[in-house]
Amino acid sequence: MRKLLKYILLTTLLFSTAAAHAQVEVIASINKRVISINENVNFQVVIEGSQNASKPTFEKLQGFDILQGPSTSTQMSFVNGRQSKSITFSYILQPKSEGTQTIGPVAVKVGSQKYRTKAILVEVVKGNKKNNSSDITGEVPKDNFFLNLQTDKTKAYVNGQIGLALTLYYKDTDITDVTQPDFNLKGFFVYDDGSRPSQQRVMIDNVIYQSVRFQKLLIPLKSGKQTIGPFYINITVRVPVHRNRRDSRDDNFFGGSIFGNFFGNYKTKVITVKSNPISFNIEKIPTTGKPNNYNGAVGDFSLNASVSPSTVQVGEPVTLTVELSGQGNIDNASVILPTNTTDFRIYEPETSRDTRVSEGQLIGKRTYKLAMVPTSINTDTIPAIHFSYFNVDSGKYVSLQKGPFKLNVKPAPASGKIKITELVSVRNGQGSIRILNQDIFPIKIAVDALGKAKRTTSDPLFYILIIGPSISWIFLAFLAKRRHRMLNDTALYRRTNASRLVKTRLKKASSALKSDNNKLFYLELSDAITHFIADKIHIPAQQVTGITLSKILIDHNVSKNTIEEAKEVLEYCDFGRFAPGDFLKETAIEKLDESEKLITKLDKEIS
Amino acid sequence: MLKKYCKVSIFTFAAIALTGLMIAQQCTASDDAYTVFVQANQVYKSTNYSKAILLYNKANSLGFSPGGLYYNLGNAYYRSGKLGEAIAAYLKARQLLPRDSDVIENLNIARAETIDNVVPEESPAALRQFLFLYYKFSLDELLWGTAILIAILFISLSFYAFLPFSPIKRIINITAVILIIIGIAAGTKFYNISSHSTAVVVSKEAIVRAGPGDSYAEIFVIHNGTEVKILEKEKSSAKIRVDKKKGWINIDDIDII
Repeated sequence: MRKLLKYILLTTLLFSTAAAHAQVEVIASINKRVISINENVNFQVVIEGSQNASKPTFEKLQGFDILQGPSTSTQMSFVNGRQSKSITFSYILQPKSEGTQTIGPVAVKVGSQKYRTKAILVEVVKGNKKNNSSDITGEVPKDNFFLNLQTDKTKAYVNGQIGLALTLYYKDTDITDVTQPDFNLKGFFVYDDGSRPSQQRVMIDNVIYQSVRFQKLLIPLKSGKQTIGPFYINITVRVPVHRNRRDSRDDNFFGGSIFGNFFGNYKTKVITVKSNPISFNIEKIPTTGKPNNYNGAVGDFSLNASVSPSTVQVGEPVTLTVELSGQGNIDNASVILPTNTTDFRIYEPETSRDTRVSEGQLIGKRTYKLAMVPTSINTDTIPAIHFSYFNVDSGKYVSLQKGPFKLNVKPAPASGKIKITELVSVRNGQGSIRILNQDIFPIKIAVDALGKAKRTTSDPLFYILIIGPSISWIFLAFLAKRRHRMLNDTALYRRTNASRLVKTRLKKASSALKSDNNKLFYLELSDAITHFIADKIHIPAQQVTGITLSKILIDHNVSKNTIEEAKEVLEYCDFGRFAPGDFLKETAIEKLDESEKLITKLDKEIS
Repeated sequence: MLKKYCKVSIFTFAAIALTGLMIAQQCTASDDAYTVFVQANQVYKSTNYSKAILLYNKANSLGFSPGGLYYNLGNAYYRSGKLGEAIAAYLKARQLLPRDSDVIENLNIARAETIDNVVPEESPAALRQFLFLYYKFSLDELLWGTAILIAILFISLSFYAFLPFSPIKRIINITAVILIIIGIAAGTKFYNISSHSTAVVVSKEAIVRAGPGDSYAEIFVIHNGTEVKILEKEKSSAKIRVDKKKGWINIDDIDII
């Protein structure tokens, strides 16, 4: 088993090594293409995909001595489970003579395979003169930097294009800051593509300069002689100033920053550099041969147009897509699109625009999406699209045409109406609603949709709803409270109900009288009086007798006459009940009447 | 005893409701006003918008004034090119029909055609959602809601006086809370509407001055259809605020909502 595992591992390793060899790449590079005779060049040979490489051998090394090297460095990394490794051989080469010199080709043996790099050409120029004046005076010699303005042409047409390059060249100068030049030009539209200035090493008259290049694109807006520039750039330079330590009164021990010159110091200086101006002759676009539909486009354009779908029903939209692209100011170029006709209802086009600078030329694309609704089945053609521009290179007008486009229009379904207000947007099928027309909604006719004809505040029902239940509640709450009190206060309950109960008893007495039931008459009449008094003053009815009556009533401030009357009625009843004699109905009726009056008096007087 | 009280209260409510309905029936708009409104609609359809405006206003003065009338009136003004009057009519219609999408849509269309690019002073959408009772319901609806809740509250209280059961108490509590909320919304709306603080410029161009009267310096000019807030009102001029600017405007130049 172990043997088998070992075998598998070995095989895997062998395969991986083979795979690694298969992906080996050898690259040679240098750090500078133009150097002075006083400078050295760094030469590197990188072997990607393997570290098992032999030392490189120079097949040719013309005009250079190997000053140092090769020094090797290796690198290994794992990315997404894949291993990558490399080995780098570095050399420092010193030029021996001026002119175009060749490094390489270099041969490297990786495993058993031999690889060769390409030869690299290096321009070796005369060494710059060492200018020591700046060390002493702090002044920067003016030929150390200059600003050069260049254009790609000297003659242009209105609405054409002029490529402009403003380059700052400098050498032997420590520049810390460069301001952006102000490209605001009268009579030109300055197209800014937002690109940053580019930096390069260039050779002018066998002298190496560093350069900072600002590029802009100008579109002339008016004809006649125009001058561009001069432009100004402010540069901040660091000038080393040699200091005498004895004269220095600086607090710092070394007379300056420890990061600066050890024995000296730097000072910064802002210098304004001026460029050369360039004069132009901006020509008007010729009128001869100018097409009728020309509307100011200058450049080189192409026109494309398509219709989709090609078969529709009446009332359904067709999308006409027109695409204008090319070199030139696309903002000034507009295609003449079809307008409303009896055959088509055409809506405002949806346009998109894209402009950019490519290889110093302004290029752009303008797309129109036009919704066209055929209004009759006789419509079978979408008219042609025309566009004209002036070609600067040929100096002639060019007219482009696309179409006419064939259209197959079918009748709409019987119930279908022509859609004229809204339709689905033609924009990339995103499905948003595109408003084509806007109009107010119609008037309201249905009574239900009108709303209430009268204001709520003028409706009595509103007040009834508020006042009615609240008054009812006040009334019912009072009743409820009274009822509650009565349930809890027996005295009050008896006092309140006394009058009602006495009336019932008197009625019973009266009925007994009518039915000649003497005993019952006397009983009811007696009970009526005694119970009424007992209820009124809240004592048991049994306590109210002929004997106790006077005392009870006197205690409750009842007048003597009333007490006598009450006693008289009670005695009459007692006689009738306990010592019955002749029953006189008239007397009984009289007593009943008297009792009623007596009750009224007692009701008033009992306190 | 208890049954008797219940009977009395039910009878009382029934009697009040019946009387209310009978009075409400008597209070519906007269037939004449409605006839004028229908006539106005017909005239509108025949594209005689100026006559339609007259008839709509007549129906309004005769006591027929639903939100739909102001909406139709707004349409008639819009069709006759009177943008300011149209916006004013739509705003009145919106007060009465706040959830009607046609009214809101037409108002927005009319607003979009105004010369001054001034956004009317209106609360943010989030606040409108939060205070939906205030913004989504008309004053009439809120007042009716308040009245019905008051009736429910007092009827419940009446029942509770005799039948102190907890479900009735719960009804009372819930009704009271809703009543407070709707009542506040109704009160605020009533105050805002009755304060007549919004106006629309109806003249072609209106000069806004530093003070009330022609002797004051001209500050700025606003145009037909621009909505303004009224801060103060005098006999012939009103102090307004529009787009964070203040000044005095001739009262004839505006239609106060």
